Amino acid sequence: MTAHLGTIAFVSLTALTILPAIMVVSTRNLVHAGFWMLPCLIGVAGFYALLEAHFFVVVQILIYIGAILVLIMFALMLTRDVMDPKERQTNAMGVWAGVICGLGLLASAHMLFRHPWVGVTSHPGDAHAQTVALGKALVTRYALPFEAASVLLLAALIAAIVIAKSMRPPAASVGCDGEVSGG
Amino acid sequence: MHAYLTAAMFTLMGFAFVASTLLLSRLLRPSAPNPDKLETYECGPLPVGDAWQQFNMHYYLFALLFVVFDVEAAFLYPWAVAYKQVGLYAVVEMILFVGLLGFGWAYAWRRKALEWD
Amino acid sequence: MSFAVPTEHYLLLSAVLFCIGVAGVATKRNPIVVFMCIEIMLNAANLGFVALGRHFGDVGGQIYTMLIIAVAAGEVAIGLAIIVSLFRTRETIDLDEADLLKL
Repeated sequence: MTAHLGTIAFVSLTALTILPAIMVVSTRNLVHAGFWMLPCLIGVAGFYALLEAHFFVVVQILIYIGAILVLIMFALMLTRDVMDPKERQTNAMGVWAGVICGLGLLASAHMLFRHPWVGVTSHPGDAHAQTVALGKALVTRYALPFEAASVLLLAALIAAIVIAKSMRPPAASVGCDGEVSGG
Repeated sequence: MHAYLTAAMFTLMGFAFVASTLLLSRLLRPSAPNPDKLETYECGPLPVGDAWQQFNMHYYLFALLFVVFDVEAAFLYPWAVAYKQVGLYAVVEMILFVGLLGFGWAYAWRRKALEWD
Repeated sequence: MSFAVPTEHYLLLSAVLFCIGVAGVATKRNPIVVFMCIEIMLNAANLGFVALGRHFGDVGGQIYTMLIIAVAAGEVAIGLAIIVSLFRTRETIDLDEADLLKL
């Protein structure tokens, strides 16, 4: 019974993740692409739930949806109507990209199913035990990557502030009452 | 795992409720399409221009700071669950982690990125 | 309570998601859509890491997912700032026109 439930959940989550991802790539409207990201990211959070990585369900929703997607939407708003949905949205690489992606996918699928995945599949502990293990590993064995992440975030923060603060105002923008103002 | 099942059931029920309500109102209401009904509502006056406005840069700066400190919070959480079992070493490391990002925060403050306008 | 979906299915799904992202990155002209596709690719990698970490009972998979999330946040913060700045200076963010560094 539970195995069936798992399969049903996996198939529906696959649909929830893959179809929006295809829509993100294929839609011509930028804002729609941004909104299609949402079900895709929620689907990945669902896969984390299925994998019993409970902490990452929360992190996925908190960071990817709550922060990164919001930032992407702000960037869309800041670069207003630069690209008309009616215009061509892709470059001349379409065929080659499709061919190379298809070949890569076939190769990786071939390697995946040739490899004997004999079940080492462990049973992860409950949410608390897993998070304790993650926190312990983070400060003991993986202490250097942990601090490196801090340095990376610091560099990103400072660089982004420098770039954002040194931006010139837009040349001319249409105000909300239809007048052209100097920004 | 059953907690997720409950949440999934609630989500499905929510979608089903909205869909059935919309369907029911579609069946019951009279239909009188009119292009004026699709206009943006602006308290009476006719709307001018597009709704896709150029946003203030400051929204973006705040969102940017939020992303960085959101990730910091995500790192704090497993540490907070585990630090009792690791002890002083974990505390020192987290002070280093938060301290480094504290530099970034102080820099943002000095460059007046935290101020509106 | 085992939800018996074999690990290779997660990995295949991760590969499909990654390939969709690659196709988008290679073909799109708008850098913000390219960024969305990069996020999809990073999500695919995260999914693979978590699935393999569970398969081998190793916490390393989850650690690297945390690090990828930090990298994604830093990348999106700087990258989008650069795009917005490019738009402010050149009035376009078309990737085919941002070719000042090309020989």
